[in-house]
Amino acid sequence: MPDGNNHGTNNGSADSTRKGTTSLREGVTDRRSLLQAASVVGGLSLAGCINNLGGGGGGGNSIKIGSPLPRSGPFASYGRNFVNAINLAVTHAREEGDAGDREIEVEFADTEGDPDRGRQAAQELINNGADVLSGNYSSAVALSIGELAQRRGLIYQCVGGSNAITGSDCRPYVFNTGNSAVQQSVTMPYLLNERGGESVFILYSDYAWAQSYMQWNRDNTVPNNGGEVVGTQAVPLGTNDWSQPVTNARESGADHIHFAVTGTDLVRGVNQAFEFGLQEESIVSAAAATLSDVKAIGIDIMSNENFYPGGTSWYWEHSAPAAQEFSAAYRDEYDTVPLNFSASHYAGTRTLLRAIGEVGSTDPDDLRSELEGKELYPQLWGVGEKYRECDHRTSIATMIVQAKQGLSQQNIDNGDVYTILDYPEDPESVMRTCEETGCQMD
Amino acid sequence: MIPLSMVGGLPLQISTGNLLTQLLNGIALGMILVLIAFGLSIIFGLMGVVNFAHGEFLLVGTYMALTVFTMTGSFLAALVVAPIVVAVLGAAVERFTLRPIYDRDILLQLLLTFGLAEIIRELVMVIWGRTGTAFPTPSWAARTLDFGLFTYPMYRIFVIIVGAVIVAAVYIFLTRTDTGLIIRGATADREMVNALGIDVEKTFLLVFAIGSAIAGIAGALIGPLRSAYPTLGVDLIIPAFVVVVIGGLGSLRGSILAGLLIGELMVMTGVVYSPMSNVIIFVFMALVLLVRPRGLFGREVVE
Amino acid sequence: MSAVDAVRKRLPVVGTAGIAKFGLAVVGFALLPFIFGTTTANDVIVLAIFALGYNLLLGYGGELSFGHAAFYGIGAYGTVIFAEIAVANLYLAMIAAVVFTTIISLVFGFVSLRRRGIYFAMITLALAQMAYYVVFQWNDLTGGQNGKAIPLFEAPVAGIDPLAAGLDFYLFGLLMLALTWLGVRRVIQSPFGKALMAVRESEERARHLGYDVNRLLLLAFVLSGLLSGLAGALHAVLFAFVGPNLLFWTISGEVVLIAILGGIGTLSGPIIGAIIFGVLSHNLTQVTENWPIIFGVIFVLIVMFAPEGVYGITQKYFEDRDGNGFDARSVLQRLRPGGK
Repeated sequence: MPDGNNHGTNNGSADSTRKGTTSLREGVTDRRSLLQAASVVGGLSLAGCINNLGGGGGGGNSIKIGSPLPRSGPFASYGRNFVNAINLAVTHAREEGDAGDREIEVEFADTEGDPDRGRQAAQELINNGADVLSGNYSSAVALSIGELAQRRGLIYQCVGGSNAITGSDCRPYVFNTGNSAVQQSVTMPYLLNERGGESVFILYSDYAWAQSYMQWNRDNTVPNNGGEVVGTQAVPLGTNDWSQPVTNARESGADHIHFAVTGTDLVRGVNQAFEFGLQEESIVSAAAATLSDVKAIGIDIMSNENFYPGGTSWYWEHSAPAAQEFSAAYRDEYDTVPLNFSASHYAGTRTLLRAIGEVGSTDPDDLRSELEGKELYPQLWGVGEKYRECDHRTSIATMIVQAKQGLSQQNIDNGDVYTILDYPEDPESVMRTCEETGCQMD
Repeated sequence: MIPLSMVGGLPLQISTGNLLTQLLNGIALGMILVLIAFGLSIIFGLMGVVNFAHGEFLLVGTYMALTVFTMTGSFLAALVVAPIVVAVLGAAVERFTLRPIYDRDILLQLLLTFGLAEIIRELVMVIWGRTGTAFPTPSWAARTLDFGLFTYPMYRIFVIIVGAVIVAAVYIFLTRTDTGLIIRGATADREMVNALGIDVEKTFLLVFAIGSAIAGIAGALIGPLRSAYPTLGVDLIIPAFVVVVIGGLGSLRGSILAGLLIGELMVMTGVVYSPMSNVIIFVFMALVLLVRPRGLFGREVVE
Repeated sequence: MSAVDAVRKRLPVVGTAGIAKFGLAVVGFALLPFIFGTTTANDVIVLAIFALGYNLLLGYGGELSFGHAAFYGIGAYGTVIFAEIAVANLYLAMIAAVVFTTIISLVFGFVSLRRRGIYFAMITLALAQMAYYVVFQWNDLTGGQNGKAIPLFEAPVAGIDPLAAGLDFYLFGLLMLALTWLGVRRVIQSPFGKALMAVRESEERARHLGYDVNRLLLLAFVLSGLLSGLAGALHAVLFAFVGPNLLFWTISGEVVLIAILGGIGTLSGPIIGAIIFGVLSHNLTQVTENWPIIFGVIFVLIVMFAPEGVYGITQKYFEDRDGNGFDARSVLQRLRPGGK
């Protein structure tokens, strides 16, 4: 899912590259540079030696997973949850022999939740001999690392709600184990059917994910469920003062006011919506609120019966047997509940390892063929979910949730916040058709 | 309905009620900016120091207020404690880091406060967490008031009123009390005031503390409006800089007028053409500078 | 004739100090990627060019800008965008990006230089934030918060391919750095450079002497913008990716720190600063999640106790001064309080 912006300085270190030696020709006339060049050429042959010594892993009897996750920055708490999930995945994979009798190793690197830093983190993992990549939090990071993975020829398992990851920017080596913006569009149909009302006003962030989400709802999901979008307003990303858009929404008098907004923007928007008393006349909902958003939105708003935080791709109290097993194992090991994307990363990593086991190598093209159409293992959603061949997105359902009764601060701190209201039985029905995604991989 | 225009393809007819609401929104935002700019102006006007860490003082104010509010349930207590804490912080900063480098170039002071800003922000994150936290509106203010043509959140009215009171109080303090006179004298001529036997160092400490306290209370006030998150200071300090550039550092009147103006500008741009709402203040600043480099109210003494 | 004499004949810098520095530079840069890794070394190159350009305005012009991230970022984005929509040649794209950045810096400089000192600093910061928001919001062109990858996969020239990063980029970057250094040196030693330093001493006096102070500062601003753009373009090549945080003011803060860390107003100080900063930042993040505190503390300590920077300290120790008799210390003393 998209996230807020982040900033920081360079990070990580590397000690070898995969490049071979090169030669430097004449054409450098500046004396100093010539001298410098001469000394570097001398050093290059040394570099060649270093290259051959280090070298990457790959093939043979060991697998190295590179895992870029947010270890610092605003999403550090999610990062910790995901690290646990991937470690657990590797442990279980070893126990069950997912990848045959191969040795499995994981190395983590810090993305800081930022696409630029994330890409550098992934580059270092690749420099250190990763055979495959697994992990991320934000869509922006997924897109930038995905491009790198494609460029350098590795399979990459990720999550991320942006439609572009499995649409206009889809890549043969990238597989997405999370839900897309379209798959997330389950809240409005549910609300229109269960709470009634017809008119909908959509406030949306002014960028690709939210734009496509808004359009999808305006043209498809809302009219298909007896409603009408009576107004929309694009709000620039990073807007602090929501008084104006919120007032506008109130003016419209719509039955439903829906936020196609995420992260801190959503928090501010919802806080200020409640300030202006929108919930007195309308039902206020969001496309999706992450657990950190929930924390910042606060108990009062979360518990309001006219507020719906939206959908979530998975929740630890999911009824599927494999989900129960995973949640129990996770809680046993780490004393905390697994987040939705932890489930994705867990299943995604194990599925990837299984694929390596089937194929017998980490060759990206072989793995790609194996993963396309492959069912996830374990089945944490219990609906036969698999990676769709045409766009590499998993056919998982999004759950519609609301805050549980008697929500307390401790609940929020533990991630134990929701009651599951509903989710679609047929997940593929809520996905875009292959043509609609605009994904062209070959 | 009042027809506005057809800008950017958006048909703009706006009801009087909505228009009045938006105007008030602009004043509320503007009042916060005035408070921040005030603090900056006072400190600069009197000491020649621009405090890049001012935004982080505000941030500390927000988080302190949140903590006090959560612990005691009293928002008013938070409003009292937050500025005191920030004043102490400001005094410590002035005493231990700024004072030793007063004679040095202004460049170094800027850089110092810049570095301090990084440290303070990171400490805030270490203490209170890296992601945002909810800041509930105090229950006695959590309703909307009916003004006939429109309804408006009571808390925002509260912010406008309290902001105005503080601004007035500081203004009166500086212009009509003896201490205020001393402070203003110290700006104009530090040595002369020193020669008169007045302790300039203490004066500066006091001024820095006051300026910081104003930032602290601004932080407390804005908490329920924006929730508490680590880059709150950063988000607000930039518009505050625009306000002082336009209004004139050291000019109290300039801060007030420019602050309200910028607040309104930001809000009304959102009404008319929202993609510009983040950027408009910079464009406006550039235009003002091209036409009137001194700023709209540019004079660099305390008025 | 010995090699040393031959070199001495050709280089304008005479004396053992010059030879020593030159030798040190050659050895240092030859070893850099092997001691600290190519990733760090490449980063250092880019930062060094950024800081060298920035120092023109700060150290020689005497004006503090907090908005140079804008030029760095626009140079980087420009390279990627031009490569995508105009020319599929990396080097043409880089040139186009640098040209574009220079034009932007002309505009920003013109507006900012309506004021001096603190106001100038705040205006540059505000303009850079504006550029940040524009880039952040203009999704279709810039990819918005997702950033953008460079649409090229190889760009071979003279037997190396900078897009392949690693030592290939290092060589290319080193060439750019050498050219930058020589260029800045040429500027400093020219009549313009001297006039600029006169402005730094006292704007009023310079104006009385008949210098067009605004023009001089604007030219310094634009040159620093150009070099910042070049650094940004190299960043885009090195990482094959750009994100909006490249224009955020923290980047502006970093280049200021690097310039100070190295030693302002000196020709080679920025390079030293870049090496220290690059090495520190790559290794510090391993140490703790809270590395910004350490950065902040270093910043504060340097400002309070060693504002002449590392190079400045060595200058003091060796009693070394540049052609005009300045070292970092004296430059600092000449930047008087209260602006101009």
